[in-house]
Amino acid sequence: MKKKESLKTAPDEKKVKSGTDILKEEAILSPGRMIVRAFLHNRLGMIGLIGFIIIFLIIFVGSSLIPFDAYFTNGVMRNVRPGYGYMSIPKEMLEEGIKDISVSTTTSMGISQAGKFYTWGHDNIGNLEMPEKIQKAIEGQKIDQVAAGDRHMLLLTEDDQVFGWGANEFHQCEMPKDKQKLVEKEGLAKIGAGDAYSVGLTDEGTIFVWGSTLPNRLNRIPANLNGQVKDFRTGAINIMLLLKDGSLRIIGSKGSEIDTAMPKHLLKPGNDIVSFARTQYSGVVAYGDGSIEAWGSRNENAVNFPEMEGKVIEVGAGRLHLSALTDQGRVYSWGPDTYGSTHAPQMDDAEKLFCGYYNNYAVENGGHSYKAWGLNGMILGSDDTGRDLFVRLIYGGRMTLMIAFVSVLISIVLGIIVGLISGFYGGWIDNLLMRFSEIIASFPFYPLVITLAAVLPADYSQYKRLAMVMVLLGVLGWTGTARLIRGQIIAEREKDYITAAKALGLRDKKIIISHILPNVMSIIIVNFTLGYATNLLVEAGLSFLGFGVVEPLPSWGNMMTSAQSSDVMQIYWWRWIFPGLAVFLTALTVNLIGDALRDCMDPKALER
Amino acid sequence: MAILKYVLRRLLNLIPVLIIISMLLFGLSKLMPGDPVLMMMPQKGFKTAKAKQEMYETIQKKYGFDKSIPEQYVNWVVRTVKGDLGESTKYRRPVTQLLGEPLVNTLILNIGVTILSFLISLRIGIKSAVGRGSFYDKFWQVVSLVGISLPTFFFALILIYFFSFQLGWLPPGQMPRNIHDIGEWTLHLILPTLTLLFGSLASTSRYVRNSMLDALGQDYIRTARAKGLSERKVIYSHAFRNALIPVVTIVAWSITGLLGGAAITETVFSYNGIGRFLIASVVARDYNVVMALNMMYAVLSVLGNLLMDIGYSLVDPRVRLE
Repeated sequence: MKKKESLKTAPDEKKVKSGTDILKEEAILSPGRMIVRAFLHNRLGMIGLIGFIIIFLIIFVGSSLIPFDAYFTNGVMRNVRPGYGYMSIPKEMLEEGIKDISVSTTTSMGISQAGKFYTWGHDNIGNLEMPEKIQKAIEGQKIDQVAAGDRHMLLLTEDDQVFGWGANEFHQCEMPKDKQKLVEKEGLAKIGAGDAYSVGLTDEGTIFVWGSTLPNRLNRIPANLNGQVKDFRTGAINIMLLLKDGSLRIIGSKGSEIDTAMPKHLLKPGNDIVSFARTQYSGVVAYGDGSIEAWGSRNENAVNFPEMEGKVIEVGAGRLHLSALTDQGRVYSWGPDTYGSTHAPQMDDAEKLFCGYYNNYAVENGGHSYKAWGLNGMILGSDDTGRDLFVRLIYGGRMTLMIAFVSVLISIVLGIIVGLISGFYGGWIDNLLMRFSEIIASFPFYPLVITLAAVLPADYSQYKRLAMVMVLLGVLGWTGTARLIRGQIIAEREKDYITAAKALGLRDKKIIISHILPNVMSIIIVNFTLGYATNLLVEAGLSFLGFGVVEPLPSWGNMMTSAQSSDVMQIYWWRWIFPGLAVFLTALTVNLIGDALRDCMDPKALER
Repeated sequence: MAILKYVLRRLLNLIPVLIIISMLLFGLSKLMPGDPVLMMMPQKGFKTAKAKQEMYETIQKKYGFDKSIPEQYVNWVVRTVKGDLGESTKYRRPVTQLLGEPLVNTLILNIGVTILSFLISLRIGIKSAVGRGSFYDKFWQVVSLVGISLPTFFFALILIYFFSFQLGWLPPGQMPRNIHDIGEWTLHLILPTLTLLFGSLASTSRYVRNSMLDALGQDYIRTARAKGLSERKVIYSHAFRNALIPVVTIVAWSITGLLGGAAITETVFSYNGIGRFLIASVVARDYNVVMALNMMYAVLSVLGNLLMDIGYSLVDPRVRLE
């Protein structure tokens, strides 16, 4: 082994290690090993390498684990601040026992069996803290019910007083005077909150709505429903009612699948409905015999509920997904797996189920413990269309890393070919190729790339466009490498070993590939690394300006495009700081590696 | 005299290069989507389809779009050489009139950046090289690595976030309202200057440091020291003058870059410079402007190459101009 190495090593590259062991003293390192050893001792280089490996793993492992739909948008979760722990119920509440939970987008609230009010999660807008005035007003009173809308909260005390706070642009937090009179007369059985509207149901069975009621037509409730309503479920733009005669009704905006796809018999009286729930476009009911029936939007896939053990005693639903609880204490979830809201845990002692938006709480142990599944928070927040920034950062990173890699590969391969040919043959070939590379290099990079990217036809598919961007960056970037390699080869060409190879009658191809290429390898590797860092930045800059990767496909550059508006920059800082940091850290680690490699491969640099 | 001859010959050599570049650019403009004639016409208000067709043909004829591609190319070259860059379809004014203001703005921004960057990086580069391995050297090496890794737009956004929004000291961008007010100009220039300076400082100071290190490692430096020359003299008259050669490259490039503009920085700061003007023109598919700008860039960088070679011969008498 040792002998073989010493044969392979050129005498001037011998490195004799000092030591007491005679054998060790004679040990000779191959140039490759010497470089590796020098690199391992380069602290900055190692930091860069480890950092890059971490980033690489996060991106590629993450993107294989987390599903991603580039076209997914979700307005109700827009501009969510980075945060976590949306499903962590306060300890005090658990001690007192959970009585009721109402889930909002990022916050949940609940009441304990002692009638105390609690909120948890993440106050995204900053106005969901209960105002002091209300705190004082409810002091000493037992709270009967809570209801959370998309951005406002309501609570009902035991003596039928309703308090509301949060977003109040449609006065959804304040019950109008005429409704209050109705409550005084008929009593209040239940409150509810939807998207910018609030609902009340009197003891007599009359339902009334206040807040934003014009666009969803909830201001017009048919008079024949008065006194007939037993229960209701709120949605974004309509309400599902269960009437005392056992039939279901939709009021508000009609025409979506929750309305049109509803089985006809549910509209007729006499159904033995024990529990019912609705998502935005789907509905589900549980009957007295423990069976369930679901209908609705094909996208939400409500019909395909899983096989369940035991009889269903309760159904629940969030914005898009559905859940059920059986008499054997098991829980199930199905429908779109948005933010993991259908990952129901294995349970056999669940007693009650609370669902809303993207969260589920299954209460066990008499209300003193619980299991939750669904959206526990977005660590990096969300953007203006409700897309999880962490997921986009991972997939955007994959895009950026890939584009940079392919484009640098193209440019290096082109550079090697041109540089080798030009340097080895010289003469008119060299002259022609070098003039050509001068022409390419004489175009300023950014303006030309921008112009070329704009020339790409608008009807190009996203992926064709990506491929073109990669080719563009590659085709414009090879000139530097070609010149460097040419220079190196001109220097190598005159050396004795090439003359010897030529004298031996080796073919040009053989000489170039087996003798010259290994000698310019270090230049190629260093150039590859540094070019990779450059192309990362170029891609990010290009996409930032809107000429590279285009929405909805993410890239680190185009994720920051929105930061050109001062709103985003000031208020929604997480939307530009995280992608920016990602580009910066990746480019920095790659540059550290490249720098260290250059130092290791250049014997002159070691003296520095 | 030798220099003059050399410059003249190089200039002659540039002509074929420029011709090929102009051909490429012209081909590029023909590839651009959209019909330039339609863009020059009013979109509505034609009584009949025939009237529209007639107008189309008139415009086509007027601007020579009805001729064959080679003829169009020749016409374009002749017009360009005469100084007629055509009319902007967006502003409906001659391109030559439009370019003036953004060019001046870019020049104002870049002159400061180039001079500052050159002076500061000389200082940092020399001091780092002389005190190689010292804290100063390591510090600036890390800073320059950060500088070349930091995306321009991200750095610009950070500056705006802190200095404009958090502290409120400086305007977040835009041009000064009163262009004769030097104080206002200065305020508006600080952040873009810092942005560009950081990026250019990072690469230039590395360059200076490395070429200075090469120079300091030479035998004549040892000789100079052995002669008992002061360290100052050794560094500045012996090492530095030899280290200048590679540095000239960078300076030559930044001189042509003076007019090049920085598309990203100008966009982030809404600075009405030539880079931002190019982007706006590309987005608006304003062909004549895009062509004129790209041609200008090409000429500038070809001249930059020439400048570089001349610079070499000025700082290094060994480089013969051939």
